[in-house]
Amino acid sequence: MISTYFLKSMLKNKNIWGWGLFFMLFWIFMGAFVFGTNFPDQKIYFQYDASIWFGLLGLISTSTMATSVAYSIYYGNSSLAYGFRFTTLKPSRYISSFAISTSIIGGMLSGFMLLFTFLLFSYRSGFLLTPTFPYMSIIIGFASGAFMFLLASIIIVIVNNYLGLRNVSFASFIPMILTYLFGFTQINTSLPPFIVYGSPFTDISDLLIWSYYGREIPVNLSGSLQNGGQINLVVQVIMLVLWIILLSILSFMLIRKIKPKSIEEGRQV
Amino acid sequence: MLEINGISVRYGKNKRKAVDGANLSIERGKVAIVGPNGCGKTTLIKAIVGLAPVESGNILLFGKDIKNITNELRVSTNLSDVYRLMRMSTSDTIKLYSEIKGIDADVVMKMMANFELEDTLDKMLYELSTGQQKLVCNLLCIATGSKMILLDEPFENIDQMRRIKLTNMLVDYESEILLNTHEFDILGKLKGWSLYFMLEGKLFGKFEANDVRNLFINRGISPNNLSVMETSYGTFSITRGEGEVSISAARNFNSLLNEVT
Repeated sequence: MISTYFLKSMLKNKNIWGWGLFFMLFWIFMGAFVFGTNFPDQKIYFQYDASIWFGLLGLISTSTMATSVAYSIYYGNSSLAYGFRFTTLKPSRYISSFAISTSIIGGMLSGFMLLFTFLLFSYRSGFLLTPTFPYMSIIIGFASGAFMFLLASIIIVIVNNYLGLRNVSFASFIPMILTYLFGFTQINTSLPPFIVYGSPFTDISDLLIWSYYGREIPVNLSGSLQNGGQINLVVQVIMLVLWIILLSILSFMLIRKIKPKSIEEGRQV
Repeated sequence: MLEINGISVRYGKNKRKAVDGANLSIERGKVAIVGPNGCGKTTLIKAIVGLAPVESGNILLFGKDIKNITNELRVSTNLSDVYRLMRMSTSDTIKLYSEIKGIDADVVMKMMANFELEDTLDKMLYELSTGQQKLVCNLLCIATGSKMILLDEPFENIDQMRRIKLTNMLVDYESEILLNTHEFDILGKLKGWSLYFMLEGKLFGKFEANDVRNLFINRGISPNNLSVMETSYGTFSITRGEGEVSISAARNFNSLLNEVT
């Protein structure tokens, strides 16, 4: 099982845990204790506030993994090109093994986010803000991990094969940049429904929010809890699954044609 | 088994020819390619395993164009670039590559013990010395027992004792080997091996590797030459028995060229 080696490698990766967990804990702390809240002193509002922070930080947390994934593929471009030719390694096996490993890490990160959001926000509010569907948070964390791997793999293979490795550093951050873009705009502005449903980033964060909050969530997260339409979560689940299927196909098509390049090409200075 | 038909490989921004119309055929037997640093030896091996872009010509492995090869286990190489699938310890690298090459990891582990490399197992591959890295890659390649192994400078940075062990291992290897080196001292031990010289991306040969002590290099075209080498820094010819500079007397190709030019 080559996914064991991927998993072991990621479990030992200090960047994933540093940025994906500890940096996110800092933001959970900020969300719970520093950023002001001006809603009524009722449990439902605190639960909603905690769930929004959990949704956003759960999404960002798994996106930090994408940078490590991108670098892994970049450093391994020759190994992959050789591996597909002269070992039993197949593109489908590589993608599925790596995706399984990132899913497990995604689930773990989601679990940690859930635990610390619960502890800090409960302490701050004085209410016991128990997540409603914790197992769903983990499952969505799995999906988020797989999605981030697939997205990162596609971006990095395009850069490796067609755009040149001088852009590798920027390219490795694209999943995270998109995560911040969609994550924060959804919370602070009113996004049109086609983005709320069509963007896999908003799908992931909304599903995470729902798994914590346990009730329907408004399309406009920046607005009032009671006003406006509610998000159809089934549509979001379907959209996320479709995105994962689409990216899996693209990733498979691209990675089997990965070109061996000197990693020195990626050197910036 | 391996057919290289007039391949050329260009590299870099100025598109310098690293391999220039090379032809080579290995049906059975072992081949050593000797040439100075930068003559295209490594690029030739990279081209065979699909890691260098072949501009013209073609390479056939077991009758199949390398462009169409997938999951071919009968070929292995020691190029370190191919052992970087992910960030792993040496031990895990051995286990993973044994798995995807379909061999028993214990075979590699025993070889590691034989070369006294057990203390490298817990370290990352990049943490090892250059010689240790080279040895690990050599062993990963040799342990596969592939029908054809491609060895790029397998003796580089390796101490004398292990060099002898490795040489014996290669001499006893039961299938085909393509090995390149810039050092001559090893050639005398390669009985029955074919020998080619490589200069400026061109292959010249073939000769007998253990006949190297009888080969001489001369400026210009000598009568009774075995091969003529046209290069940008002059024309040289190889003769047997007598000539200007004994090839075996030189430590490596670079010093030989210094002597003859």
